Amino acid sequence: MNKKHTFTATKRRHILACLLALITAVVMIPGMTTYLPFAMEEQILIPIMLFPFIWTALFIYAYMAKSAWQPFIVMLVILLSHAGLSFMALQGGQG
Amino acid sequence: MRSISLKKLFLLHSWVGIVTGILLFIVCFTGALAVLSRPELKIWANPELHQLDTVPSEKVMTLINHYHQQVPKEFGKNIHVYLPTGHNTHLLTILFESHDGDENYDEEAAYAYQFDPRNFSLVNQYYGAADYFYEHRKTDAPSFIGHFHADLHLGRPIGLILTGFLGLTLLVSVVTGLFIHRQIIKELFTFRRKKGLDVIVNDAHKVMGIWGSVFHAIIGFTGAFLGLATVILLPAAAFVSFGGDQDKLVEKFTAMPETIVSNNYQATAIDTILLDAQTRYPKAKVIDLTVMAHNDANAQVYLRLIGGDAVASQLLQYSGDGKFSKSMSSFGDIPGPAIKVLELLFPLHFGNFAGVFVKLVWALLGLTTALLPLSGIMMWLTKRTRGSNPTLSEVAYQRWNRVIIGSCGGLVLATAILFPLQVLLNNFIPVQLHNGYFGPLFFLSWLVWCLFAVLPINYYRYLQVTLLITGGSCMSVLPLNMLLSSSHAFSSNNTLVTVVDISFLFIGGLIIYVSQRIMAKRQVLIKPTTQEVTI
Repeated sequence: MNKKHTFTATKRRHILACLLALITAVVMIPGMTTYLPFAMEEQILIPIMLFPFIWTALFIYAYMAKSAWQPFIVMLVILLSHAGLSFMALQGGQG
Repeated sequence: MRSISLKKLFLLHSWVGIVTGILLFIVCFTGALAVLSRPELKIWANPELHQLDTVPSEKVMTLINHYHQQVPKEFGKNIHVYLPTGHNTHLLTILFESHDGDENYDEEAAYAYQFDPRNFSLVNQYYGAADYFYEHRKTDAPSFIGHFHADLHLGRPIGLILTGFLGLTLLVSVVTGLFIHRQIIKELFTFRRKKGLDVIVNDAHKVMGIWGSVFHAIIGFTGAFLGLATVILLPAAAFVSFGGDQDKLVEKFTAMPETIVSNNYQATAIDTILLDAQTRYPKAKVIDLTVMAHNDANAQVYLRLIGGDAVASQLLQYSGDGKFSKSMSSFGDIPGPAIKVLELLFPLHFGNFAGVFVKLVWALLGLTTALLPLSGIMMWLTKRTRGSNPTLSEVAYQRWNRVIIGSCGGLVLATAILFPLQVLLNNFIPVQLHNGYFGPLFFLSWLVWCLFAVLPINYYRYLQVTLLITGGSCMSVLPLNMLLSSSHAFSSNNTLVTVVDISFLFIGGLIIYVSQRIMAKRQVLIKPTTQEVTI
């Protein structure tokens, strides 16, 4: 099996899967607590329990996507939006 | 599914397996043993627990009252009692704790008293930092393996993060593995045991992977959660909700909030509480209790129970006068379905929710989880030595095999050695010195066995010797116990001890038999060429 024909931009995909997927999944945890429509305990517990699934999905997606920029954009959007939500919540925009 | 997607999944499955395979074997193999470590193997390893029934509740109360008189007042606010059930310490332990320390300690300090559960004589007493006491409790072979499984003895957070990420990679392997083995039904029933070793390994990989896929996924998910929860996930969750204060988050989920001392004397009815718990949940086992504000009108008592009809461990709350308040999860009385799921993660990972039979099933399935990455690596190596254009030379193939035998086989061997060592320590070395033996012997024997991989020896012979020593170590447990100990398979009047002793003999015999079978298969593979020449 020829790796070059199977994956494009292999190194970038490695970085996306090993680094960006982890950072995105971790940043999603506090971010999700700001918008999940549940009681406080559930708001904390549900993102924590979803973490392994989110990371696995992002990791696999980083390799499966047709082009490497697709998962990069998706992860970046998720990352920035959740980081923004967390920042707003910390600034007092949300409880 | 398009063939390019399948190719990608196949490559991803291979990469993850090759990078994490050996580490995953190490964690899963020790995890399979750790399933049986508490309480079964721990009871076997500690003669103090062999003849034990239940500790009389009035004796527990008498000891708490007696030793409470001997500690400064601030140490009476939090009293932890660990019952000798094989889940915690091997001795009945009463720990008087002051969260704010005292004049000598700025951190949490404790007075601890430990009693032989057979006659309640004081065996050990301690005064100092509470953390130090917990970290330096007496260990034994099963506890050592259990801790190694949790954090590879690398400490926290590094060890926990590493095992947590191995859980995540296991999840990736399960998901990608299920996609690439599309002919699931056919592969479920294909095991050609009369073929060569390569075919057997290939079939075994698929059969173990597909039949156990749900189990492997559960172990991957729960392992990732248990490894990363306290190190990454909880701090991340606390970041917004509690302004980054993890202590506040823990406080929110703690089942035992601090009790305000009223300074009005009222005897805490610990014996009544213990009896009530046993009456309410006769099939469950009380493993520890926490007394807050002992002998005060505001006293609260919390009992942790395991087993019985409840799947997860439960916490019973009583007021000091013996009145039952409520039963709740270990994390407190938190409403909602998420906490129910969280509670289930622990028994699902440890397999301790429905008796010994389920534990044995969990241990066997855990062994298949350990063998999956190993068989995967073997398949990967074999594939690269075959065909008209092999990418791996015969020398490199042999070297890789020796690396696998040295690292994985070496771990199995080092683990097996711990059990006869436990028997020898119990009979020749004072208890307080036991902790110093397990680590050095385990890591040294593993390291020595890994170093043999550097030598250009026949890897089949290397495997055979590894298995022979492992089998021999297991088989030596029963005779050593009979020779040295007064409490062994045929004298202890404890079914558990008898079963464990005989199991070691059986498992050792099985390992030696397997080593002979592998060598016999090897001979068959070599012989046809010689026979052809003779004819």
